[in-house]
Amino acid sequence: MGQGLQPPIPAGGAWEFSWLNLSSPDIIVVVLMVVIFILAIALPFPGGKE
Amino acid sequence: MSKNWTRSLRDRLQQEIPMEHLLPDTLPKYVDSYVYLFGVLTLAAFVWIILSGTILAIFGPDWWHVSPVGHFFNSLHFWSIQSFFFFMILHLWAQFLMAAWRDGRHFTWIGGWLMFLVSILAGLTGYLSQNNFDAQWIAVQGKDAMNAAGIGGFFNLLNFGQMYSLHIFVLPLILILLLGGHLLLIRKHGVVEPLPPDPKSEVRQG
Repeated sequence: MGQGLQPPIPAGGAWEFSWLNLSSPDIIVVVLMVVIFILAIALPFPGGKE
Repeated sequence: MSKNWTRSLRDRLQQEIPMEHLLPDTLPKYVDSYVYLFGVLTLAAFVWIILSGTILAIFGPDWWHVSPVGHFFNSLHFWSIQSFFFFMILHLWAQFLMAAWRDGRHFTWIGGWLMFLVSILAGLTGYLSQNNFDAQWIAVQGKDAMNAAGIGGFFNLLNFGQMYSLHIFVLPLILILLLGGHLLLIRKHGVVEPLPPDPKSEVRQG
């Protein structure tokens, strides 16, 4: 009882392997970083002034 | 003219970083990409961290844990740090993939890594400075790692005063000095040129 309120407070469901343990917020952040990085490369930059 | 520290420093600066390099009004064409914004976004997040952190330091833990305005600035500090690390990692990927250490820019690259490591230390001391049960838990768990590493004697995670002083004075000072050097080096060398085209891919096209 009240296990979830004892620190360390779990961040959510985890994607777990022996070599990797990512919580869902971890996965969201990593995926967001990859998406933003790809968009930053792919999207044309506005302007082009002299 | 006789030798003079001020004059020799001025001559040195003019030679190393002339004003046209220090405050340029044009940039190369290849900088027209969002990839080049991650560094300045990290810098902007750092400014927000310093501003919100200064307000937190003025009013103290009683305020940031109890007052609604204190909660707001606590959250502002937290989210500034999230975006600081977020954009720092993206900046790291971008600079790694464009091999930004080329043509004498090695100290810019090394300085960036140093700032990354100091930032992690600032993050740890920040967690320890929260003054809540989470901070206590992290200190009690982390002290064993510090003792195992042999540095527990002079880096005591249970000592709030030490952790707080490191967090709000020593580590920000180191970061600001490193950051100043990082920015000066970027202005001195300019933005790294794009990588030359791969000769193998040219052969395939031809």
